[in-house]
Amino acid sequence: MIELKNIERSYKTGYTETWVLRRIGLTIKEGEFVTVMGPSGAGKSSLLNVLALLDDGWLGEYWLGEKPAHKLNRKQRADLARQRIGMVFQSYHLLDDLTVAENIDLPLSYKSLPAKDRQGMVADILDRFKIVAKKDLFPSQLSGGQQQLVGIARAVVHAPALLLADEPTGNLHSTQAREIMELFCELNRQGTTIVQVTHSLENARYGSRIVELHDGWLTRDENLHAHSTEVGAK
Amino acid sequence: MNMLRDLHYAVRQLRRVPGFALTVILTLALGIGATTAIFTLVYDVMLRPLPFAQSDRIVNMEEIAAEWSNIYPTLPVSANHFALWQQHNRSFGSMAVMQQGSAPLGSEGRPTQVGVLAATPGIFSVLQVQPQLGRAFTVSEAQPGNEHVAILMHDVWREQFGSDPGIVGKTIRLSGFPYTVIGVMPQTFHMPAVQTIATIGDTNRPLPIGVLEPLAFSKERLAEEMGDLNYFGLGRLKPGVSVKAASADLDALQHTISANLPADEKATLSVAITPFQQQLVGKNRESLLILLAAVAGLLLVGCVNVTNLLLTRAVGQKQQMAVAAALGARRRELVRMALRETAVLAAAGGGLGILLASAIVPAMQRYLPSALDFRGSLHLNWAGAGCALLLAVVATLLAGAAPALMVSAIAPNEVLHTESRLASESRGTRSARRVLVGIEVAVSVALVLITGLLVTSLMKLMSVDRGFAAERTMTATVDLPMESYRDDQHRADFYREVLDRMDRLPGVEHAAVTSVLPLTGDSWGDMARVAGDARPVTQLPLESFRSVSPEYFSAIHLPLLSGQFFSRSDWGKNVALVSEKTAKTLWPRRDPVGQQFSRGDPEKGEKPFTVVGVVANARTISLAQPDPMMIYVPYWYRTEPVAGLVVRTRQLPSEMGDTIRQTIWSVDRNVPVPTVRALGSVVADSVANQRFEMDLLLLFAVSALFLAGLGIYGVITYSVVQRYREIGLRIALGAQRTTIYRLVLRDGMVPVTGGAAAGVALAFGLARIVSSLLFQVSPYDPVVATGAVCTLLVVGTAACLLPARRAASIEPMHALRTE
Repeated sequence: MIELKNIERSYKTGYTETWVLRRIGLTIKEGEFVTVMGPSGAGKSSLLNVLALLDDGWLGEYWLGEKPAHKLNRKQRADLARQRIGMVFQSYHLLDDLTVAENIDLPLSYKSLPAKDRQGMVADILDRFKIVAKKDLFPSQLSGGQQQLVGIARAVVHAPALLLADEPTGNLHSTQAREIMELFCELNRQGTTIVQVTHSLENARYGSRIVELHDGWLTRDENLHAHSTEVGAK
Repeated sequence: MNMLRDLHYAVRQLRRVPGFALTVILTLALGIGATTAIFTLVYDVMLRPLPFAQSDRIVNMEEIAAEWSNIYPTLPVSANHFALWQQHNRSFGSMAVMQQGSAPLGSEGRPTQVGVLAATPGIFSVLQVQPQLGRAFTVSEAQPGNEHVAILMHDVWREQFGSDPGIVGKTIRLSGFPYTVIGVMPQTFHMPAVQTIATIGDTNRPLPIGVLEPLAFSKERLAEEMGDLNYFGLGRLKPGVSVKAASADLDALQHTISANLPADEKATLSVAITPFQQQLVGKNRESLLILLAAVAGLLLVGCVNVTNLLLTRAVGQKQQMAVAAALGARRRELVRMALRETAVLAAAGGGLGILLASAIVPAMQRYLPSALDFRGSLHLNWAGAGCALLLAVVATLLAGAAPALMVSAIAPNEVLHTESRLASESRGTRSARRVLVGIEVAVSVALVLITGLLVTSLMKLMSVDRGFAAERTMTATVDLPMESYRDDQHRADFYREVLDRMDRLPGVEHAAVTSVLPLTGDSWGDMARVAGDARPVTQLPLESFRSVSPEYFSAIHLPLLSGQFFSRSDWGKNVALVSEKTAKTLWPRRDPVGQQFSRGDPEKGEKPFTVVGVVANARTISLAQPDPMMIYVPYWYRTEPVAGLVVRTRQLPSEMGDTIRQTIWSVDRNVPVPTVRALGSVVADSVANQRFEMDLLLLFAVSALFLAGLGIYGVITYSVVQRYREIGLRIALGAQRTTIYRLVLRDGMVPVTGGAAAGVALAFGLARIVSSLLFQVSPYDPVVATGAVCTLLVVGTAACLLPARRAASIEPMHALRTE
């Protein structure tokens, strides 16, 4: 599903260059549920941005399925992301002016899909996430957990093969966080590959694998259902 | 103390955002400066009382002859009727009639031409002024033979006589005659130009009045019961007498005059009495009001822009306000915080606006058409300054109140709450800003549309078929001293000699003399009686007469339709050419050549005129309308002291100016030649009024467009900044660059389109007033309306494109970085 080879990312700050990702090599198979952990500033979100094809400034090789993302231009990467990737954010990032249904419809509106098909897909996901009753409400009328539920529904409405989540439960209390994580497990069981970034070990245990970053280096890769692998710093 | 601290904070905050501060200050300065300048003009012309005691009691008196009212709605006053009014009226404290002209002043070398006002002695009590030195005219000085006394205006006394304190009693030469100076008017006295036959607002730029002389009527003139309608009448109403009552009083006298007219001069007479100031403003009232409305529109656009900019800034300061509120700041203090910046901006903008206005006013004076220039020099007065100050306060309130209230209403927790979602501006605020953009676009579209109409109108006026040619043609005016050129014979001899010498000049094709140069007004109206027509003189058709030399028609390329021009061989004969319109009216279905007519009230023993030819109709009195019936008589029949020369050349007309002057002076070096101009300039000057209005409106429209563009740009840029994360999210969710462009453009163009529609409606609503200023253009002209809307759409699109580009290049990774 995903193969990263020697991925590097740095930012220029004045005359110095700050490295946020160093020679990352990582393979994620289809159907895996991977958790990326590490302290603040370790490079977790940067790695997620690379995986989401939102970042253009990295070096190395990135294979998404059969597609060499490193050889694609910006537009081709955006097309690829639109087809295969869904994103969930810590701050939900729902648009205040749009209703629940309209927020979920947003990614579909950027594809050339007939309106009727889009309506059907939104209705399906509302039904699947059991939020049909809330479809006409605005984000400000929902609790944090409900808003994140809508955020996830929006991320998966176009049935992406890969779901990326950046601290999806960071703004939620524990009960709501558990519900969200169980929803992720459900999606994963249905075949969606998931990569989440979190600080919570409890949430990480819902996944099948943990990778850990420190100062941009990949320092640990642990399969929770098998033995752990320590990755030495190079 | 608090105020000083507020001022200190405000200045410190504004120094951090110099671009914003400068934009607001310049916008306010432009709006306030332009409005103050135009208000100064309108106030000076229309509202400020004339500088005479109880000036509201001074009225202009005109006559109405029902038989001629279709051509001349009002007529100047006749000496005969005036004498009766003066004797029998019960409504006026005093009255006077006068006639403005010009005359050469001095005799040594080349005399200067000065404006001369010949007035009956009553003028001093009508205007309630007295000379600063010497005395006013006496009644006996207004008798033929005693009238060679003069009162100098202050400027002439200073410039021509070095403010000689002993000038009273000295003799000066006016038109070659000796005049005794009996007085000097005070410096504060400025007499507006008085013109007759409704020439106010037309093209003649009369010389400022430099000398007052008594107007003396001969017995023959006083005996003319229906002739000599030549004088501008002014009267001072008795206290408590209304214009209506005075009209009724004089109408009764007119009725008596009508009843006693001889059978062949029967006319139904009445009077028209108009407050003097209203008469001076005349038909410029509409254009001044349009200018005032336009500049008020510009100020509105400026205020809306400033409001929008301040609103933008206030929204940006939400966090700061929320912190202040959380720390215990009360609503009053929040409002003060918000208003202190606005107050500083308004003060700076107002101050700069006054400076700008004080620079605009003198510049405007230079371009002021003569019709609006009856006050002397314009000065930015206290009324103007007060107006600017008032506007600054209003602008402050308008621009400051909305953001201040919005900011003061913020609940701190709301700020924190909205941070977790993607909105940092409430729907209400966004709608308010869209409405504001809509308003400024509406006003701008209306301004652009009205300006477009005036530009189209002026273009049509300038390209209308005038019927004569102005290329390679020079004109000159000549003012013959009466002393040396007492009668038609002497004057005709002078012109014949000048024309002979002109004809011999290399490069001259045709040289001619005319009583009135094309497009400089009308002068001699008279009736033509066709042989066999026995109607009373007042029922005869009225024609406009010109006395011209034979070459006049060739010099201005006025085509001959039938017959021939008169020539030197006709010297002394009463021959005439008529315009096609005259021919068709006087001799329908007959060949006019060879026909005879006489003047309605001919001199004793005068032979009838024989028509020798017919020339085409033209527009020589006003470009806006075809000439009335024209009759051209030869200059040997009648020649006025003031006349015009027309010289068609084979070379550049500008090279001929000095040659023409020298040629005239080679015949008589004492003849003033006040103006030498290309005929093209005379034509251009004839639309000076329209050009003045158009230029100002064009300036306002361009400023409004610029401000509207700036406003749209500011609002959309701010909107993009506010929607930074939202747009980043949309890109992250798959939106393409074109989608983002569309999103931003739609956001910007919705209020622009709405505003444009409202602007067209606004301009159409003003159609009734605007139409009076238009020539051959409908106020609903679809092409101009479409052009105005398209202009705003282009400006709107251009203003949206830069922020749209910025939006489309947002990096989602940055936009969505965890807060």
